[in-house]
Amino acid sequence: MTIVDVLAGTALVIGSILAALGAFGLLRFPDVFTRMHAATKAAAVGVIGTTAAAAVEAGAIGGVLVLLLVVALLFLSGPLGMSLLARAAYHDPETPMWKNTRELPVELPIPESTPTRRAGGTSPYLGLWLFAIWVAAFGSVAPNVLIGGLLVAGTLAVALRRLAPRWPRVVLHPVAALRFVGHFMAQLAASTWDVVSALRLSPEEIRPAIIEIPLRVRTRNEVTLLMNSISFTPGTVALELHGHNLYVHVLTTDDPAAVVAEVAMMEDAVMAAFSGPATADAATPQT
Amino acid sequence: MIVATTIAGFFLTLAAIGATIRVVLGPTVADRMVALDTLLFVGVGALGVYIARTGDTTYLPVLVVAVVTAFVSTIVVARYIEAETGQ
Repeated sequence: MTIVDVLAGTALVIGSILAALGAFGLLRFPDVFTRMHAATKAAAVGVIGTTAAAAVEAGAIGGVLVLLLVVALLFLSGPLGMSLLARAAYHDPETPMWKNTRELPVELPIPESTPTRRAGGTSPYLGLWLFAIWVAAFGSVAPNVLIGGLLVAGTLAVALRRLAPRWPRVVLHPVAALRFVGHFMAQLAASTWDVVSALRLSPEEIRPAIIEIPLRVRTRNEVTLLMNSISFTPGTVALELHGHNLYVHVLTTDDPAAVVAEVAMMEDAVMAAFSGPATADAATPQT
Repeated sequence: MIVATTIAGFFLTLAAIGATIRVVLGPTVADRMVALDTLLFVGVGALGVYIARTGDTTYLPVLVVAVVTAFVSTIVVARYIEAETGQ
């Protein structure tokens, strides 16, 4: 019984309890949007916890690689799929919405937009990414896997070169990206706690809101990362992107300004991760 | 590990039961899809618990396929709902 075992065991227990609470939220929350909060946060975070624990316990390097791939997929695909489903349900007039839901107009100063960085060009790392995913999926560094990966990733990278200009260049700033990850993790914990504490409320007390938030981020990568991230921030599910305005659904709030501020903070972190802290600081002089 | 995995298994079973009830109750397609997603994620978590308990990594590829399947199925259902609305 090592310290690693104890940590993994704790993650397993907490993760499974969160999954159970998420399922409880599915039963208790009054409409499909509030249920999505339970599913994307409590349940998904719980499963990520158990999977991460399994990665620690798997021992073999191959197992760890595959499980890391699973965790990354859960983080990426969970909120993305949920956002699409939320948008579809939002547009569908037959989907019942909880009567307490308020659509809040935004009367906030639209922040100065940062200069657009619509940097086109190829992604020279596409082949490398494909290769890394290939190796992780096989969970092995045997010679035949490496050769196969080189062939497939190389062929795809060359074959897809024609599409390259449509892929914006990703410039990740390591320090800012780490700060983003830290910020994201803190928000993730807070949002999971929000869902769990909302379970105590009777449905009558749940007051969801749909808030329209003007966005400052412009490039596709930034918007994608932001929409993906805010699905994990306290009480929000991205509903729809309309022009440069993002519609988010909030589980329960009486303080829309706080929600807007949280999204703005995440936005700052995203912009810093993609363009370096200098630009983000220029965009938000108050910090 | 035996104790932790047993407790985790218990709570994951509760989660699976809760999600299944929501799948049956609905009332909308989107509700059922959210619940099915949760059910599949619980299955992924259960496989994780199994791996942590036994150290047996035979079923690892199943995890990757399950997560990707959940993603694709959610998108398909979202498209279906949108197509219905568009009529």
